[in-house]
Amino acid sequence: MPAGHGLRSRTRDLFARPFRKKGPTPLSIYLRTYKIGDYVDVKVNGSIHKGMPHKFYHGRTGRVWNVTKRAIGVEVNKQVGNRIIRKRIHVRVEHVQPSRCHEEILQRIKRND
Amino acid sequence: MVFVKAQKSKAYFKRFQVKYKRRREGKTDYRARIRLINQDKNKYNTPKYRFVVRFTNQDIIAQIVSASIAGDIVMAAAYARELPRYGLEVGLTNYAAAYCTGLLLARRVLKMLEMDDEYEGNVEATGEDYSVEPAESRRPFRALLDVGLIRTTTGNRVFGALKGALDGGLDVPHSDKRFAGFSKDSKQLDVEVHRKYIYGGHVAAYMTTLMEDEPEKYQSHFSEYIKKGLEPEGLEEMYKKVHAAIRADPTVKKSEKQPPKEHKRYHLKKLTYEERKARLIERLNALNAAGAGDGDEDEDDE
Repeated sequence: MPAGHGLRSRTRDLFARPFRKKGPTPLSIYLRTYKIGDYVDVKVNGSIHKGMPHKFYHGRTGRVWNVTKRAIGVEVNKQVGNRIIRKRIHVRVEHVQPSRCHEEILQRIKRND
Repeated sequence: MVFVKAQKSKAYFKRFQVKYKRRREGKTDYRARIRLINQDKNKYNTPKYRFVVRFTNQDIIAQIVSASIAGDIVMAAAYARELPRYGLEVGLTNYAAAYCTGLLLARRVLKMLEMDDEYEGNVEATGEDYSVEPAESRRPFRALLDVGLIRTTTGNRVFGALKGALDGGLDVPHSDKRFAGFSKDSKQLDVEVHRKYIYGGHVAAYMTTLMEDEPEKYQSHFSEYIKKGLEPEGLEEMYKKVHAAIRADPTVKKSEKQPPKEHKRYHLKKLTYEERKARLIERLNALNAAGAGDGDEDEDDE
């Protein structure tokens, strides 16, 4: 019978935890704070099953537009056909890292002030 | 010589994933810790305080801790070893002492935050369940009980410390199911029994039983009590006095310590970064000076 196209199809390696990093996640992930307008990278943590984004968003970077109790709303660009749509997803904090794409600009601002 | 097949090969070690250090030491339950520390993201940097209670063989440690990425920050701590200052010299790890330690920590924290007049807590310790009522100006100080790795059975000393903190005026979410004196059949807390435990009634009862039945064991077991002249009937009075003394002055007393002794250095002291840079510049200057003196002809051919 055919393979199927479920939500987590073809993610066997993508969502796997890295070598020797399986098991409990480090606590600093839960202690980080995110504000609206921050840039974040979406990187799925396969051991946390709740609040996982779809595999398309793995590796994408977007801005925070919403902060809830355990999750962050991220606005990510997605090309659909001949246009790019700004898609808003909600992701749990375990699947999100602060992005360094904006770091250089922030440092420059600090230096110039 | 018996031929034993090697169990752990090099491949085994290459693939072995160590558990977190504190898990290897058996000191931290990470599953519980994640749930205690996790703060709602829409509360941003608001600290979430844990009321940590740990028992060693001769001491009780009660702390108010908040987590940060650099490391946990202890806001205030109380040890059972401080209780002799308030008049309690023996039995420093029993249920009553745990109550005193919890009470001491609560009053200390509230005094630190200048909330101790608003939130008196339960001054007269009955055994019944008491929760702080919010006063008009500030909301009560909230902390979450962190028991660590102990088994939470009914009547455990951690809950003695919890009761002390509650009566001291902290807001710790709890239920009376695990206090000493809760009966599983009637599903109710027997207030009298709990009060007995808070005032060391269970210790006093054991003392009287031993005095009648086995005087030698009484001498050996309660030798410190006998030395201090503590009778079973006087225990409750003593604990009442200790509670009052704690409420009167919960501030930390700094112990005077001599500065550590200077020892002879058996190895060379490590230089700081600036010292090493300075040394390098000196050596280069010395070399340049020497070189200029020796080989003036070689300078251009370099």
